[in-house]
Amino acid sequence: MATAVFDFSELDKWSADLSHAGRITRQQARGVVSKGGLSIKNEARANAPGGPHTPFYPASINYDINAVPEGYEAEIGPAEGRKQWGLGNLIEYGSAHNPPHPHLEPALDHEEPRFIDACEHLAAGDAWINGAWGR
Amino acid sequence: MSNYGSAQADATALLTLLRAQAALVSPPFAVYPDVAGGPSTVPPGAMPPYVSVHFATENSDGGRLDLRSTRTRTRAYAHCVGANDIAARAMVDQVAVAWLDVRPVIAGRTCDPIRHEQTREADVTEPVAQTTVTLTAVYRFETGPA
Repeated sequence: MATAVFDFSELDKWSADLSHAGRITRQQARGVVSKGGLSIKNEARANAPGGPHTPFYPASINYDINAVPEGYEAEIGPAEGRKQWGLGNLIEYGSAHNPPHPHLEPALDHEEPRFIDACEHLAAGDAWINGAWGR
Repeated sequence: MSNYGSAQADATALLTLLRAQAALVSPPFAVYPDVAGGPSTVPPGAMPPYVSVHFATENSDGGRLDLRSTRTRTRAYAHCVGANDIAARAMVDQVAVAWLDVRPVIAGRTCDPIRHEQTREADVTEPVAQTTVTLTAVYRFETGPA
């Protein structure tokens, strides 16, 4: 008689992780989104051109955390009303005659793996304690 | 820079595809920068329709186990210029035909298909003698070592 042995340990672990997911507080989720937004803002500011023609532009980049039905979202970019904020599109995307200076979307690219990693830790029930993820 | 790819190889691959598409259209549209390069992307006096492309390439580690930054990620900013919005959109469509989901070939590299990220709203310029409409389409192209 043939005997089949199935290893369900991965499935059990996944099930356990899912059971933790329900315990994620909105405050923890907001913290992860906020940290991601802050990191993107900081990198975008650091890489934004701030030469003689755009001295105020880097400081116009800011971020907001908004509560939405699905949870939270971070909105990062030049904040309307700040000096030279209106140059954002031209600087990021350029024009036919002017090269772009990408600083917002690359910052988003670089933060993406860290943000996903943080979300996975949250889903597993981890907490950010003293500069490291743990339980 | 073995196995690291190059900004020029990525740009050449994308421009080659776009120039090939431009030659298929009657009348052909201009693609800038010129094959031989030049001091400015678009020469003075250029008449629409044309597509002016800028590139931004970065080397990323791509999550590789050996932590070497051997992947290139190139964003191509195709500024599609027409005499009016219809002509500008026609250029956007031509760029899509040339690039969208196409997998270029670069010796020694594995190339991902070209992906469209976004198309920016119309930018209308009104110089002294001419009005043009520009739509900017952003594409992403990534390669890794073969």
